[in-house]
Amino acid sequence: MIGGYDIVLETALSREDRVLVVTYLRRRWPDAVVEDLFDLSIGMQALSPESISVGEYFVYLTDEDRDKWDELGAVDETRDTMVQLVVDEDRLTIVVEPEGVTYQIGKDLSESIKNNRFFRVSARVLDLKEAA
Amino acid sequence: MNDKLDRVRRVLEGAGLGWLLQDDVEVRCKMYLEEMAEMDAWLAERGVARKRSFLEEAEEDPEATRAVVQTFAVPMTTPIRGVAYLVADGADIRDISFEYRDGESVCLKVAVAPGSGRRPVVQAESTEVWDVEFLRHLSIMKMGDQPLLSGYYALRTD
Repeated sequence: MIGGYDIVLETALSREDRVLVVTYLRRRWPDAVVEDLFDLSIGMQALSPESISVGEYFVYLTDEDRDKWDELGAVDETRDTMVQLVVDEDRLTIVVEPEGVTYQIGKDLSESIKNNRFFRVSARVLDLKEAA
Repeated sequence: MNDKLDRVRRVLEGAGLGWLLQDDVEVRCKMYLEEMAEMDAWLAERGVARKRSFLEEAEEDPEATRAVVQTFAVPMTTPIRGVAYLVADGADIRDISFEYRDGESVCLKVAVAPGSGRRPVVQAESTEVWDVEFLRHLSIMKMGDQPLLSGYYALRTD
């Protein structure tokens, strides 16, 4: 974890949810770079729903922003340029900066997943909660 | 029933559409096979490069193709089914217009950009009411205050 604000969806991430997440991020941050815990990175346009499985992902606004994170860590200049996705078997945690652009992204994603669930072929959303 | 028709049967049953085949199985499978071929041809005519037929894709990845297989449960027209395929495959939805007049007419127009906008826009238009089914499968999102329709998803069949 890198601090920040957690938006938690207590549910397994279905394929439909992964498509939604990728589609949204591709549109919102078209030049983003996605990195996993093993420092393997992929450009946003090459990211597919199948790329997301159980694990942690760091979505940086741009390649330059990723370099700044590597250099400076979580400082005022960098905090709102990265979204962390923690995908567990039965939970998705979106770590964002409170009241920033990344918070809007986290809210958009969690609400979209929740609102599109009720008629999809997928598990129901058990709970949606937020924690500082 | 020949092997190809049996493959169609298995694909439909795998997508939860076995109820479509309760009567005249062979006749229905033949019809669905023809409709799949029509969609393949429609996509090819629009320059959409694919390595396999839809039947082969559905056999290989039932989860990813389930939503498009469900289009065969209604008498959807080939162009609207074609754009449903493209959206399910990741195409961006550029424009949708929909008009309906009670008891008179319906008109659905869809424009999509395959390959995240890297290829030319593909358009489809229909005045068939069953094509309205297309709209029920879209994912609805907001990006800040901006609307974002994307993804063609399967409906529950249980």
